[in-house]
Amino acid sequence: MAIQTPNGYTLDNTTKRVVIDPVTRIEGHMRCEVNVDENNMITNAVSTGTMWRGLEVILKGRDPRDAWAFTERICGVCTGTHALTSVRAIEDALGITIPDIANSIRNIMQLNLQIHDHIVHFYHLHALDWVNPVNALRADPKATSELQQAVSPSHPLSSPPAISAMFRTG
Amino acid sequence: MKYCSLTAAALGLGPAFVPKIAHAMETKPRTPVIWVHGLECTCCSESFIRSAHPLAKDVVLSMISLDYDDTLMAAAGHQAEAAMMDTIERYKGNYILAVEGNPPLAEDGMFCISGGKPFVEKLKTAAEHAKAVISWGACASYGCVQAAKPNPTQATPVHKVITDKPIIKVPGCPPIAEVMTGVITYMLTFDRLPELDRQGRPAMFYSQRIHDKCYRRPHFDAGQFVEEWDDDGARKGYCLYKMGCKGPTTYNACSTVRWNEGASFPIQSGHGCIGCSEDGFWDQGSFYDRVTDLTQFGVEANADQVGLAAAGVVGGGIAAHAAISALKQAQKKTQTKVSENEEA
Repeated sequence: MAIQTPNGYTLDNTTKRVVIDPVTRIEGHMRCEVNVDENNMITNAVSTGTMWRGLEVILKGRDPRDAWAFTERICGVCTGTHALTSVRAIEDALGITIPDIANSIRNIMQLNLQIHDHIVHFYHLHALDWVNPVNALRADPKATSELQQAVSPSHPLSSPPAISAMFRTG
Repeated sequence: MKYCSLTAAALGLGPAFVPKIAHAMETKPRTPVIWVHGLECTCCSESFIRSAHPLAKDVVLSMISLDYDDTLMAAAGHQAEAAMMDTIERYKGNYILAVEGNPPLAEDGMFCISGGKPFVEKLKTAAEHAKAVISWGACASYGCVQAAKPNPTQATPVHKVITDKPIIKVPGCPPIAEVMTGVITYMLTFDRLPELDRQGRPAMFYSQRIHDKCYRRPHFDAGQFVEEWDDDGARKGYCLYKMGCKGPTTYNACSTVRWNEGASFPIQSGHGCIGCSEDGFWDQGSFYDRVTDLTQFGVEANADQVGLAAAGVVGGGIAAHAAISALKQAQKKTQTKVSENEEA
């Protein structure tokens, strides 16, 4: 049986159905639903954001100078990006041009956020999709050291004893 | 040991408590924690993982057993839900429920769904057998941005839904990382909740206003204000009160603990405080409007009224501005006067 969602997607349960809800290690709430055929190939996939706060509604009639703080709360992981974009949208609407130095400061903010976000996203969020920390602690320190030195030979903590110490402290 | 000292200092405990904290971290069984997420932006979790003293990793690996947290756990879907039910079953009455975000109650809770059910149901299930509840951040404590007018989803703070458990509010958007881990350290070390104020916040972190310990306070006292962005006063680091700084009405530890391992806080970077740890801070007018009507208890009057009242009390003849400088003292006297009047 196929069910049509209001925004035009089709949920169907004619083949094997796999539902992941909640999807973890993301900001917000999400549900993913896929259908797989007898060869385990995905034939249909629907993802749904399962949270709505209505920030667009709440923003109406507010002081435009405050908009950045509201839009920033769309996501606490990529906060600054929303704030900067909101400020730019307001400036565009009001025909405000900003000096080069202000633009540079914003670029620095944005690039800082990007670097920090890569670290958070990798180590706290998606790394667990391909790293098993419990198994990782049983790895061979010598082999790990060789791998590390192949990638960055001058890294001060790449010797086998340094790697062993890291495994011990977790 | 180093972070134990810093944590002891942050908690307002003397050095004698350092070995006690260290002992607790080394020997006590880890406290199971279920950390659920409602309507939120995850900024509380982002703040938490930045804690330097103690390190978030030490909290998660040595102090608590974070058995369920949709933002950090490896499992997803049914596996994740099973982990939560299993923790509730195994540690009935002994786990701590940490809530980030809040439940929307409109449309039977359909604005936030987790595992196919309204979040409010998950919250109630998890709270039923919890020892205590921590309300992380402005969302869980007060409602925050989604509860700002017109609150389209009827987002509701945790203490209005869970009414039969001890609840610790740790407000802020987000709360300071060291305040979050400090609260957990205290609970593990002493096996009890920290002392709470009338609003349910840990007194050790929320008993002073940003303004009370602000390093720009001398400029306020001297009447040196930033009058517009980019003026000479802004370059010299003058007080941001006239630019809308909410420091005088905001109870939080930003001006002492600061952020990112004590690197800075909003006022230090040249922007006023937006008052994010106060109830309903989204609906108190613009963040850039000067605070003119202070609605909290004890500071119901605006600065000029406080000034005038104080001038009256101390016998007049004092310029209103000087009286504003003695704001704290003035409030005390005003309150005394009010209570005297009530008695009379």
